[in-house]
Amino acid sequence: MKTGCDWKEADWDSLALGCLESHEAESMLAHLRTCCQVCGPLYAESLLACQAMATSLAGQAPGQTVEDRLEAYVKPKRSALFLVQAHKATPWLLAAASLAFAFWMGIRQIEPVKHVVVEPGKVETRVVDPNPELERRIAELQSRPVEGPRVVEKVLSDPRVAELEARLAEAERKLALKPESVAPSAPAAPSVVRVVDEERVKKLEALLAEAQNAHREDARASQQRTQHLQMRMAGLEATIADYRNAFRTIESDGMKQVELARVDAAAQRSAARALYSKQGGLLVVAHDLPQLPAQKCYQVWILRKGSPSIVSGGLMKLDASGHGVLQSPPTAALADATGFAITDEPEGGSVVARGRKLLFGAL
Amino acid sequence: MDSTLDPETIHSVRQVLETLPEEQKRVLEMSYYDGLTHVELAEQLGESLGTVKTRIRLGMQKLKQGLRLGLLQ
Repeated sequence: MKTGCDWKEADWDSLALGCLESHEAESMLAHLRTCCQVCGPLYAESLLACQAMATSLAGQAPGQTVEDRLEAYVKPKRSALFLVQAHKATPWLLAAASLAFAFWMGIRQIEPVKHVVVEPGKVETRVVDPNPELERRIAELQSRPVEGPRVVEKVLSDPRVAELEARLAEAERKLALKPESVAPSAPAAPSVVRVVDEERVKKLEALLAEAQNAHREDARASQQRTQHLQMRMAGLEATIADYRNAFRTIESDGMKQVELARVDAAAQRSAARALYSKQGGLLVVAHDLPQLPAQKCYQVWILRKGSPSIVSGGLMKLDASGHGVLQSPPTAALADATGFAITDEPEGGSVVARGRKLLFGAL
Repeated sequence: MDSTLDPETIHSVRQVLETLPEEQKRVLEMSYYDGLTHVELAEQLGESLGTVKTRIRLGMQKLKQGLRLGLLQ
């Protein structure tokens, strides 16, 4: 084990008590996150001493200030979460702005010319904002024989058209980009027939669908990120608990450790380590264990020279990331232990090992 | 916090707490229960920052000794 570290002389006691200034505490906690094997146990010991003090003084509990501060150390900061959310919302805001700009550009290109139904079956094109070049091109196009209707007539009460126009008007109003020449389209009576450019409707629908898809993807990504952070937080909390548990066993005299390796394919890529001593008890830490169905559990077994030759060490609970820790008090079986094993057993454990032997390690 | 401490350990730490000099005990309780920082402790107790830190260090040293004794019993 590493015995030297520049942070070794840092004030871990004050960190555990919660009486450091926040910037000092942050830098020390950042060092702890490097899993320093020198400072981790020092901090764990200080934490345990504070816990013992709290337990020894019945009727007292840490003040709200201390609880808030300790919570802030282990939980993601709310402001940071807001930053992440704001960052994730940016593409949606950009998409909305692009959509509104696209609407406006569409108006710029289309609105100078208006198609008007002068009588049933006859459509006339009029220039709203006169432009010589446009007038020339329109006259040229009108002089060509009409091959088929290029516009379709629709009743204004068509919900799709009404909805799109309402959104367009809202976007223009918010951006205040609407040119003077483009008058807002007043809602007409349902009986009035208006001319609608079918291509424009399709284009607007495509833009809306694109923006909605982007929004859905953004929401999905945010959810995944939140889940990832929650799992990471759970892992860090488990690591702190491991430090505390490991301290008792590691500090005891005659501590021994055994690596448990996979002996069954069902164990996948998991592994474990058992630390034990006659006085400090047993600590087993496993990682990457596959999740078991609800009616099964992991059980640790102590193999020994005496009789019975296999004794249960206890049940090991897993967290969501497959990380498991078992700590059990000193037992006589540890005095002549020769190895350890982890099996999967029916819920509640077994008196005699019957499940699959997944991990095993011998002295 | 968790319940990894057994009654023997708690008893051992309680004995240490009872034998702590009053000023060390007070500074530990004020920092842990009242949530005061070093500077705030020094202001409230009218002591120098160094004195406050020393009292915390000595008090915690004794608590940890009691903890080790309790764990080894």
